[in-house]
Amino acid sequence: MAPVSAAEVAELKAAHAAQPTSDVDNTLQSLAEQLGYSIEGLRKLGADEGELVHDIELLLRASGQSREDIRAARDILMKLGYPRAITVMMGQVARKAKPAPPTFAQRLRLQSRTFKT
Amino acid sequence: MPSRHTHPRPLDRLTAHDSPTDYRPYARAHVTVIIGNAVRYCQEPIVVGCSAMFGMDHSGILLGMTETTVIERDKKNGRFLAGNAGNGGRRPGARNKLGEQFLEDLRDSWVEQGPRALARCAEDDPAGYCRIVASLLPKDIDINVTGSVDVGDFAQRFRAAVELLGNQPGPRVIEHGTSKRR
Repeated sequence: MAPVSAAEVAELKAAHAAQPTSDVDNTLQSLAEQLGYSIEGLRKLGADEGELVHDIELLLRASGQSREDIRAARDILMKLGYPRAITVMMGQVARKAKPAPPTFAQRLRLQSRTFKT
Repeated sequence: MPSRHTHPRPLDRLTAHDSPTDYRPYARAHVTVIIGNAVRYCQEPIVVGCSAMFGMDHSGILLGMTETTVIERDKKNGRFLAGNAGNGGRRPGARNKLGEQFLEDLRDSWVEQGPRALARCAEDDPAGYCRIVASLLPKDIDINVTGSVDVGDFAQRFRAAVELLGNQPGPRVIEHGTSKRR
């Protein structure tokens, strides 16, 4: 399976941006649930392991997940027995992903430090 | 719309618009009973037990199906009255003998004539022949290529599995600072 290209990522982002925001389904809450659901749907469509890895990587890169979230989802999927190729790929994507944005408390602390100096 | 009743409802209060689910299998009623070919109208309300659904005509008369069992006994000694199911009835299998004989004859005839008839049908009327073959195929072929997975069902199963692991991620909360208030 060919590696995920920047064009594919851009295409999926554009498709997401074109979708209306009114019919968003919030049944799946965590990233692990969303990835698990995607994997099950892809399997039902007859995707093999290479296609699964490709599509999940594409999904992760296009959705711009933070490295902490990806690693947390990877740990859950690993314990649930999902294929090793997927969890290894998630680790690789997490290394390149952006860090999670600072929490509200961290931002407050940063602001207070800036104010003091 | 007929309402569903939690308590048994007498059959003689049913109307023509009630659905078969509105009554209970045992009740007292004036019933037109069909047992085999005999049709009887019971003058007194009797207790009926039915293993089949009841039908009802437009005048509101309840019609029991052939599987309705009516218990008519002598009030004094409790014996079955004449003509009731308790008096023996036909021997088991007697009704099916004619049908079995017909099927055996049909089978013999088909063994002899069937292949020739099929070959002639294929030559004379190919469209009809194709219709016969198509009619033998299963009517309902479930081809599911959409690959849709029920989201709610999946989420329930996934969460149950994560709970079994014992490391369910907690809900996201807004953290508050650890610094003391002044």
